[in-house]
Amino acid sequence: MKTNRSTESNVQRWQLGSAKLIFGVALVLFVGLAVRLVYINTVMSKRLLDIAESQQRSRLAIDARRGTILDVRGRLLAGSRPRYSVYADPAIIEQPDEVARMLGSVLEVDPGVLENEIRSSSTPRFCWLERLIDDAQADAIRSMHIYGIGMRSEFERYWPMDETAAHVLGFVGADGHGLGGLEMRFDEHLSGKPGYRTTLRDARRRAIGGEASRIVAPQDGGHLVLTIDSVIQHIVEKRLAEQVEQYNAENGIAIVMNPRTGEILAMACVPTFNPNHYNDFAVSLRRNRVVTDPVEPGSVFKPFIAAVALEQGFVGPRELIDCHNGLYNFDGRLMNDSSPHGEMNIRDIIAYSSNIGMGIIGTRMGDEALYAAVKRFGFGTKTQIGIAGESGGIVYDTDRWSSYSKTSVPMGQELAITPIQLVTAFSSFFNGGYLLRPRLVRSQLRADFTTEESFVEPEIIRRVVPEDIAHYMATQALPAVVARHRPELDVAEYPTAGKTGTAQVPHSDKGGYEHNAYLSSFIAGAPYDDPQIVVLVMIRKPEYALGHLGYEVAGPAVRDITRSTLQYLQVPPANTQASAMP
Amino acid sequence: MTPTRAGVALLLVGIICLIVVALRAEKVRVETRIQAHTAEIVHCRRQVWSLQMEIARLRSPEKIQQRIERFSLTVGADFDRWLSPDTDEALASLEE
Repeated sequence: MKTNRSTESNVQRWQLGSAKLIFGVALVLFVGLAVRLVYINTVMSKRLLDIAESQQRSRLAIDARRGTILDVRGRLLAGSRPRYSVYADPAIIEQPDEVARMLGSVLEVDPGVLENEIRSSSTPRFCWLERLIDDAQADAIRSMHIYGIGMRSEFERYWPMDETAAHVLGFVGADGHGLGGLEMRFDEHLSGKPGYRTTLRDARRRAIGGEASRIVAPQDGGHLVLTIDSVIQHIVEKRLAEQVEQYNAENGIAIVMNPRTGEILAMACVPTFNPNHYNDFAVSLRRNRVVTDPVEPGSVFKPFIAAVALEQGFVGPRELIDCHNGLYNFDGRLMNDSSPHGEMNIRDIIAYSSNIGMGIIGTRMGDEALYAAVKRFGFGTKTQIGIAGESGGIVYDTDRWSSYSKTSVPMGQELAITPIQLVTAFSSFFNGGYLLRPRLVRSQLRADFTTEESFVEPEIIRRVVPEDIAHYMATQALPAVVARHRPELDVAEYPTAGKTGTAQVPHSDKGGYEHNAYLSSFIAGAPYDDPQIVVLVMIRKPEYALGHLGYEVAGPAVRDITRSTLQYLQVPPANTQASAMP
Repeated sequence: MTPTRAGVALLLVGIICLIVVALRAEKVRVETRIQAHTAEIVHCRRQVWSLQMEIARLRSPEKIQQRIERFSLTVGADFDRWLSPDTDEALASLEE
């Protein structure tokens, strides 16, 4: 009995121990599971949710619409138009050859090429077949209901006026970012922010509609309103192209500026390019030479030195300077004028573009005063117009000047300036003596066309000449160039004040100048008694036999542009009294 | 609970279930219609944007000049006046 009881007690103890052990193991397991559950729901939660999201949902980017660029009167210069792009999911296309055949007829692409795209796709679930197709093609493809073929809406950048203002606007690459001009400078403002759409998909990657789709809307880009007027731009481009063609020249540039505000009304380079097909044009043709290419200006530079010489008393307005009948030796440098003149005052030295007269004035001023005069007008410094690749020009410090420099610099040699610097500095004579920052953008608008930032007020860099000197240059000295020396360049109804220039073109790879190669220029402001515009035309390397002088090559273009622009702007013609020569 | 009451309860539950299903189906139908309308809005916006581009192309000074030449309009040296800010709208309407 005692043994039986003892055995029974042992069994009970064993059972109890087993139960405790099982309970303990179960407890440990449950605790482990609980800990794991907490771990999964806290530490691993984000990663697992992301994995689930990527497995269950597909995410498709929605492009933001790039902002538009408008001219000063609201005409569209650049915009984005919607297009579809066709893609394939190679993993679920069972008969690539058949799909390629069907698409090939619509897309007008060799089916073999499409089939190869599908079969040799580097990514298993996606490959582009054709980008930016038109709506009719998209409708045709959609109606085919081809399994494994999809379309994505994209924006294509479009410049509706083709070449008009191409160098100002720039162009946009395949990735939708600006690669030149204002498209590049204001890329961030124009681009906007893309959105996306996520769609819940079943095991076969078919979309489940309804509330399962989530859309984060894109933020469209802002807009730009330029100071450019597309009609003036057209006038300028057309006339410049005619002149370049007539003289079989290498290239030409032209600018029209409002001297009172610094606003650029037109800026053109010929030959030009079409931003809609920018890849078809050489890189050199896409460069905005108005701001990127400094040139040795020649005689158009003389008024700047003359103005400072007048202001600082190196020459008086009525003082007569002996120009030695067109031939003079400056300490070993023999200098000549295109026509012989005896004594002339500063007005006639500018009118007849006397190298000798300017050489004498330069000698009186000396290196330091000359250098200061050049720098004062902004030469050697970027204008900050806001176009990528702007050059500040080349103005050497005086320690690099030679003994010839004080006679070379006053006639626009031994330095290089950009056309935009020239027109900006020249405008100071027509606005009371202020150097203004040239501007291409009048305002930045938000996507809803409300104003974000406006640039209506002129930005004054500094005063460069006193008002009386500026007035003298605009109404006495520069009108004499046209009225006394080149009357054929006068615009009868809009009295013109300007300066011609015929500069030799220096060799790019060695010293000296190219034979019979010239840069022909004319810059003018009109009407000089109530200045509205300053026009510059520079034509590089006209065919020598056809003509090469500034007044004959560039002059007529400036005259015609001036007349057409002022008529377009409805500036009332001046009466004959006002336009009479002083 | 008597069988009658149980039957009524089951019937009520069944009706409620049918109503829920019907509401759910209607919700899906409405969402589908909203999606269709949204797609139509997107389609219209695309058309508007495309037409804006086409209008801008037609309004470019070069194209206007080409039309003047095509219609043999006598504008001569005063061509620029035709493009002046007050008259360019009128000129564009010549096409209509």
